[in-house]
Amino acid sequence: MRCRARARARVLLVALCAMGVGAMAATRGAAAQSARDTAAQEGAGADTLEPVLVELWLGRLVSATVPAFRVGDDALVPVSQLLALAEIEGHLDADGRITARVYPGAIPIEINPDADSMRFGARHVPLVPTQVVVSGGELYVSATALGELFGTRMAVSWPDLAVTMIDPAELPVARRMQREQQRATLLSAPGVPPVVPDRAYPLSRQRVDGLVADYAISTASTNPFSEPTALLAIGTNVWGGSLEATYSSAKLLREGTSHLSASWLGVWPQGRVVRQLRVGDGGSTGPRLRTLQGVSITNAPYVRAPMFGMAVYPGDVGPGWEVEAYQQGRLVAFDSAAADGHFALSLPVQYGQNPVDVVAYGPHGEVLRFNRVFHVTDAFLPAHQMEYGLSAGKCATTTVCGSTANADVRYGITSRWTARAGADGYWRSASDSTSTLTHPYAELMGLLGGGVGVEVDEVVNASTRMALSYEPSLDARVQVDYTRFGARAAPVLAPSSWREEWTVSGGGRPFGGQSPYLLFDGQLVRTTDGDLAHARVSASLRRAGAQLLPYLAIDRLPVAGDEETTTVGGVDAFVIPRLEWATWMRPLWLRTTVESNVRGHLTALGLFVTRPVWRMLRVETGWSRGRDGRSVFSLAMATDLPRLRARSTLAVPSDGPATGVHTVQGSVLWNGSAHALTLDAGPALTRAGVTGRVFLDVDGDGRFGDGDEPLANVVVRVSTTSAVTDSTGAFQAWNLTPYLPVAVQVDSASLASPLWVPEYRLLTITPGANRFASLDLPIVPAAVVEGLVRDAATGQGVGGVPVILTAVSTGERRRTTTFSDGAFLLMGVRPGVYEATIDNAALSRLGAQAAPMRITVERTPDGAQISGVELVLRR
Amino acid sequence: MKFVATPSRSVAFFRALARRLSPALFGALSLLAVSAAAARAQGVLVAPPGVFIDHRARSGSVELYNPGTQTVEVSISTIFGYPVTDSTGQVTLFTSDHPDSTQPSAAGWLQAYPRRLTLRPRERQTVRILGRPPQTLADGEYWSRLVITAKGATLPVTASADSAGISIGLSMEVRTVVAVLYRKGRLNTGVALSDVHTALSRGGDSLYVRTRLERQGNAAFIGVLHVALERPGESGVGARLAQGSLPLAVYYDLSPRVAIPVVQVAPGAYTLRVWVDTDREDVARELILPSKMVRDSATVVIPPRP
Repeated sequence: MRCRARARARVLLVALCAMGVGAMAATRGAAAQSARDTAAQEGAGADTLEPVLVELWLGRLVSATVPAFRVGDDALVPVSQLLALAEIEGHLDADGRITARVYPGAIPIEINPDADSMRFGARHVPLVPTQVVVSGGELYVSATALGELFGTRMAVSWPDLAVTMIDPAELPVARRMQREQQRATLLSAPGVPPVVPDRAYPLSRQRVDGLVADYAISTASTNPFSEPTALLAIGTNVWGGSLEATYSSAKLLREGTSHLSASWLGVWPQGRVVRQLRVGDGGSTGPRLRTLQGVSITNAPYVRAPMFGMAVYPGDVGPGWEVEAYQQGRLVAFDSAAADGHFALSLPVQYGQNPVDVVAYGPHGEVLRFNRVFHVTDAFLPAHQMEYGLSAGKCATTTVCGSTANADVRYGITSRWTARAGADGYWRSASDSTSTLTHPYAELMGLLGGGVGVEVDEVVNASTRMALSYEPSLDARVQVDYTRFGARAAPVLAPSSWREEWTVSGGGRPFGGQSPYLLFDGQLVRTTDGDLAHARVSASLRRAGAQLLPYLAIDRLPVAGDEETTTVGGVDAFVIPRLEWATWMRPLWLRTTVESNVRGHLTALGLFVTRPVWRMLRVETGWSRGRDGRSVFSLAMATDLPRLRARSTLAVPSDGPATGVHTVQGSVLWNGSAHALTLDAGPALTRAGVTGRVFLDVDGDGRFGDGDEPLANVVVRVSTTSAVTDSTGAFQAWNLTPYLPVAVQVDSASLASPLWVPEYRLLTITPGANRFASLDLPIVPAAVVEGLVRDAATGQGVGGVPVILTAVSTGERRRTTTFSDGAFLLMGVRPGVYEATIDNAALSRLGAQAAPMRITVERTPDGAQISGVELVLRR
Repeated sequence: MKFVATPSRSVAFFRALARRLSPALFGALSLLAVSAAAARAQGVLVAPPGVFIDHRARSGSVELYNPGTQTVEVSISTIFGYPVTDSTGQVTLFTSDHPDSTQPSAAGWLQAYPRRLTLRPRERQTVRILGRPPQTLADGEYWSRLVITAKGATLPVTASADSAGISIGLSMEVRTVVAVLYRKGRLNTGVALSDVHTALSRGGDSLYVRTRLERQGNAAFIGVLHVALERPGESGVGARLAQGSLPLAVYYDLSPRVAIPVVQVAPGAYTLRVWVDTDREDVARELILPSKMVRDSATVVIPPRP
């Protein structure tokens, strides 16, 4: 063995000698002899083979010290060891033949020393006798030829005694290491840092504040002034809650049907026992909602947080497999299968559909991909969370019941099982034979593995319901419900004649990929009068820029002791504008419908065209014919202005006079802080707003006052919307969800001077309903601090040194790193006293010390420029 | 105005080089420098290519983006400059470190914030440009150029055990020059077109058209120079046999050259139409000062080719 090792190879040589080079040499001597024998048989010049030890590298990922043979500038490397290093499963037989498979794809590798070529999938590479040797039960093949086989280059460096596969990215070991790197990133990444506002304003509870009004007026063209219908809803904020009243009238100016409702809803977002209390008109608690006039109380949140919690997804693959879960392309969880092949992924789950892509990697590069959906409905509660609800009052619809009450408790047993129990009470008039009905109920719902959901619901003396759902992926779902009704169920729970109901619904892509999405639903109701049945199958597919929705529907109804069956089929089509259309056609949206019965008679026909005329005006016109043979031409104009909405429709039937209806609706908002009235398109009732002022805080007291300068044209981000300040620095944003903290931020890029910075980077405020919550946003003139870190010995600046600026009063820290010449620069430094220091780890690394430097940033209207801050490194 | 990214070791170096070399050779070297920089060095992308600042706002901004794989240090400075044409009609950038008082320079009172920064790979950063003009600034347009210099950064000393103080990356600086126009008060602009003359290339396959453009009003004219060769007695798009255009900005005056291919044009007499309009696609409509289109024409004879 000739050890022409240099540098790193020398280390290798020393290690080999320590291991017992004599034994190695003896082994290699025998191997060399055997190799010479084989090579001689194959015709190779035996004296050209030189046994050596080389470092076999796959890129810079992994390496192993392996025996090899030198042939000129080429190297014959042991193939089974190369495959083992690459984590490719293979088999080497006694004749030196190797068969292996590379995953994913199970691409075969075949190398036969007796053949004149070797194969990797569809790639065949010639093999000449001088490029192959069988020695000591191992197959040695030319690195050059192996490079061709794997579609990359094998670099042989004899000075370094190294053979390197230049690009091993497609090999299983590279894929595994890339995955491990991603996982390390997932584990070590700080993730999205928790948003900690500089200041959080809680819900303000004033006696009375704010006023909003929604209005809607409709008139008919035939007699516009005599019979308008109107709706007026007024809301204000009383003790932090929403007090609202709604008046609706079918005939505003003459005597007609009118309705008045009023309620007060108090919300305590952080309350432990009570979070919502409603008095007046509103909904009941419990699973079967009904309107009532009375009281309801619950500890359920006003708006449920979207995050449900963590859910465990178990499964089985094989021993040694690794499983990763991705949500929206981001790695969110991973696990390694146990000895029995079992794995469990802990996934973050939100309410609603949670599609998860799962990728499982086998020990030899096998890849298995599938997706799953966790569908968490609002009925579920996170583990160990309890919610109650109590309500009682007069029924809004007195024909159903006189008064009603509900007591309800819901508990999350685990993240997959939720139980519910309670009772509904219905009181009716004394003359009614079923005057009082009480229906205790219990419900259990669970999410089993594999996308299976189950619900069992028993309402005493009313109904028993069982539901089973299966939703393994986004492309497949089915749900079957069965309900058996009792004879004495309250009318609000079920029609009295119903005895049983079966429903089935679902959808999916039976052919996967981009194939049409099929939807189906069916219902069978057994009543005392006969059976009702309905079934519908439809599909959604896109062809030539049109969305086509073909369907087939069957309805069966009991009619006078007999049954009537109606079968129709049709196609709804929506044509979406396309860029390649002519200019005048691009704004057009087309909608057509064609329906026919089994006898081929058209039962419905329609064509509608919509086109925006100006930015806020949309016109739709069309023609339709119904089952009764009547044709109707229609024309509608809709206007969406920032301050109101208006819609006019005109219908001209073939057999009657034309009719038109005009509707105007909008809202009026009173901003108490700004003493300003604003019009809005609405609706505004039970919504919230934020208002305030942006100003240059010249006197530094944080409040707008004399001497402070209001700032115009500043963009303020409020939740997902934004507002711009007017000439007085005032802004307002409306249509926010009340009782939820709203983030408020000044867009510093919109400030006139880059030296101005917001006093608070982020604020949150919790607005109440029907009012504007008020807050001021001071802007402070900040400073640019420039300095230098230099070496005391050389006088030169030192680059790459972390510099920390610490506010003496608050301890707030700002960091930067010196440029290559040792200079540093920090912008947006607020007025105050600071201490400039060098990061301790850097000082330790440099073996130096540096005295801190104290600087003072004065408050000046245009901001300050501070330079000459010098930190000196002394060794 | 030609908003071009011009990487070089330094602007001064380029100016000196420009003085010493023939314009054509300088242009070729500049192009080479651009492609070499794109391939080897690590610059930053800058948008937009021109900044317009209104006196009422006094500030504008550019966005920097590091598309590379290494951290870069960026420094931003201002210099007075405007485009001129050389004797061959090539548009180049004239710069001056010390403009005289008659020149509308904003370089002295425009400042970039931050003026130095570090951009990690794939990172972006907005740089604000703040104008602090003198109180007595008269109405008009004031010009400057932002010179954005990028070079490899120094690794933080805490980065790894064996990399302390190691300077990585580049010995080459990549410079990008961006025009800044600071506008105050009522502005008007226009351009006068004169002295249209032509010459055929040596092989007879291109027609060189040169003209003199002189700015009118008190602000730079931003627009496009168009030339078209038409059949005699006809006009319009259908009559055009060959055409070319050159986006430009006339700060004082320019004598640009536009080449149009005439290899397919048969020998004979033709009408050459030359016009200048403000139809720039790369500049927002509201930033271009309105101006009337100006036009001229001449008769051109394409001789029989040897």
